[in-house]
Amino acid sequence: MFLKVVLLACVASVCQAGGLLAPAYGYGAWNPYNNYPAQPAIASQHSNILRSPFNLGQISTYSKAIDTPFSSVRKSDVRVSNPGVAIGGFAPAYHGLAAPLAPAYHGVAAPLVSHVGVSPYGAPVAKVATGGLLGVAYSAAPAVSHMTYTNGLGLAYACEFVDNDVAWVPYKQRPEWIDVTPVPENDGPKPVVVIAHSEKFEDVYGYFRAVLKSNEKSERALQLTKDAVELNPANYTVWQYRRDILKALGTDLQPELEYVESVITHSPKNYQVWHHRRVLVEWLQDPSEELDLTADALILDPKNYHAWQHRQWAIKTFGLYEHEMDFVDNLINLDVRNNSAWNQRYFVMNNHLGWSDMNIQKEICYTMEKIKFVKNNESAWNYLRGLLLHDKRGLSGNCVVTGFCEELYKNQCRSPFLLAFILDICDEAIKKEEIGVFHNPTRGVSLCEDLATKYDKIRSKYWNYVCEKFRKARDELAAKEDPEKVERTI
Amino acid sequence: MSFTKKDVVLTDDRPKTLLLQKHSDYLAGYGLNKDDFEYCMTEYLRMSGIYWTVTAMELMGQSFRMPKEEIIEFISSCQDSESGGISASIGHDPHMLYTLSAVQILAIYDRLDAIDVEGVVRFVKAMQQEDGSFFGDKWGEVDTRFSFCAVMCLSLLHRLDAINVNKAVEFVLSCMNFDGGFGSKPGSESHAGLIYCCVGTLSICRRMDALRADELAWWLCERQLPSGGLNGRPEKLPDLCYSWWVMSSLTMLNRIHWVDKKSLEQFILACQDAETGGFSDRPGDITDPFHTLFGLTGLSLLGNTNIKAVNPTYCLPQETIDRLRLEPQVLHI
Repeated sequence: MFLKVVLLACVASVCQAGGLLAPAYGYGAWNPYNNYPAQPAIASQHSNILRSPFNLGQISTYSKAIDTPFSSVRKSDVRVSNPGVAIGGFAPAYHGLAAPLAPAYHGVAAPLVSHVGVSPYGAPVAKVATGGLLGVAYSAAPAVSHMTYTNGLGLAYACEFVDNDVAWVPYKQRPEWIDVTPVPENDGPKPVVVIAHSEKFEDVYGYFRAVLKSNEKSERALQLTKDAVELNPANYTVWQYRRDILKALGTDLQPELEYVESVITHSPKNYQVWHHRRVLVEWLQDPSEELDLTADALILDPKNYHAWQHRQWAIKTFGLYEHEMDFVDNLINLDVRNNSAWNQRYFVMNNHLGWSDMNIQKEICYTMEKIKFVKNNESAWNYLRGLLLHDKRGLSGNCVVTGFCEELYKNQCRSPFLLAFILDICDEAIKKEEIGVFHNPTRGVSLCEDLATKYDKIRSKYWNYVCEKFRKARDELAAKEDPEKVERTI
Repeated sequence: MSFTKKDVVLTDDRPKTLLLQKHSDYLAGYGLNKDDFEYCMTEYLRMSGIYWTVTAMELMGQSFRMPKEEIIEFISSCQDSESGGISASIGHDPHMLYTLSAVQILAIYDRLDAIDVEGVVRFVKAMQQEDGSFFGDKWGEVDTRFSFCAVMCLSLLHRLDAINVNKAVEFVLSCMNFDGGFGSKPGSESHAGLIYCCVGTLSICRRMDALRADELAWWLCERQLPSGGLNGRPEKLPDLCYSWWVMSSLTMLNRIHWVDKKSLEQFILACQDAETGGFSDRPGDITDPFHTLFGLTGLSLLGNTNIKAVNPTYCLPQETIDRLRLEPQVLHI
């Protein structure tokens, strides 16, 4: 509750600030590098449509993060902002047309909230939505663990609501751009690619296309790319051109690092921004801030794939392994089920510490401790299996591990991961012809049956498949032990 | 002991039947809405957007609702004459992702002649690196997604010979993890979407034998949650698009029957929006063409006969793959 109150208070105060201060932030006074995080006021300059790009990234980032192998898709809840077409509580068409639509928001806020309710995400946003503060922000943002973003969103939305376009000076009205003729978007054939741009989007991208066409590499063009990025941080062409300009101008890259960090903070699941960061670090050959940067991103979302990739790249490229295990320990302590952290643990072992027998035994002990703590933890069990790939005694030959499993079993633990692990031990024991009291085909069959019918019914088909293998092994064994008997039964 | 998992709960008022007409209307209207804000914002991935829509329409037998000739003309104008690559939209930079989407669309339309095929081959070839991996574009981002784009694209053009396939396979295999899954780069966490890319690469290159099939398939089955939906990594929420990434991989592995099909089907159907049409990532969320395609393809893999058969490797109608005489590998053990 406290959280919500604070959030709303912030929104309110920044709205005011946005209204009062916005003019002072006129583009002329813009500090090119420091404005981004402080952007609430700046963001407030967006017209109705335009600010959304900024938020759009956010939204996709959290509520609709679709990092697919093909691309990342942004979802926006813009439909809320269309006052005219609410049908049964759900407005089918969207777009953020039209000026301040305050009443409309209230009208549509309710379904939204219910929407948020379904999502795993946070109540704070729902609160914002009901508040009518362009709650659009449904975006639900982000969620629970992401106060910063929630705030950011709330602020942005709130401000645009109050402030409108007071501070934004379109490029076409800027005297220093008078020599450039904007290039309109070539929409291509209609109607497939009809694009309805907002005024600001058209203005900025009209000039962006113009500098792209004339290949202008200048300070003002650099500024322009920043506006273009803000409208759509996922536009990879803008980022590429920005790098071309940086290179051509020989710009000091330190401020650029700070700038991209602020963009990452707002769009932490965007491929382009992380890639831009990597190129800068490569140019500078200075990875000194990368561990902190990624650590910050991982505090907000401990499973952010982009952040992990960047971190691994920096560690591997510049040999920054020294404190990585501590970092991993901390994350696992915070959330023992964090699969990304377990993966990173393996990464450090595999690339740095190595698989000496002592290291393996140490890791086994560590992992068993974590499993004792939370037994039904897929990540820890997988890691244990991964460790034993490097143990020359294999899965079934390490009595510390097999003893541990039997102890859990004896104490009535029936986690599917434990049973699956014992099955793997049985399987290996059979293959190695080291069948014993605990690990034999008959036990395998009964464990499979338990899994299929009691403990992991949803995967019963899989367990039945595995069961077949054990049945076969059981029958073969029986035949070997007593050929005559088998013959008689046949 | 806690067995709780992150998951969603399906409500009783969820859609339980397939609303094909709704989806067709939804997609047909999607590109036509001139005020569609989302349309403007997704310009940078327009080509993929068209691919999702065209493929979904094809699978529903509704392709006549798409402006085919305009789309083909648009694709032609997105090809960069210098590099040969294709961009997401006119005036953007060429990229592997959009080059593949363009080739996929043209393969469906049987109009690969609309682009400079040699140009595409040149572009893809130029992206391959020493270690067999592929860049996404000239800026050098490496990712197993791009390996898949490269081999799929070239195989659709019958020009796999243009790259070093063995090296490409070698790189993908170097991304295999201790759990049998794959990530984006060597050492990156296993992720169902990237597993699809890697298994797909091996399927096209006919090297499925290199997989630890049972282990990988079990990991994929573990993605199924009590709601029936699938997630992409342990402890993540279910998302409709994993119905495709996971199920297509399991189909290539010939182990699709290991998941609980009935509850997955219920989950997929629940992701429909009965009012607007289309599918969303999770029940109750907002729909989009991306999830609409993967909802349909997921149902197709589950055997729904109201949707045309989809090829698990290419994510294209099976009839397209047959016409091109392609035979991506499926495990038979």
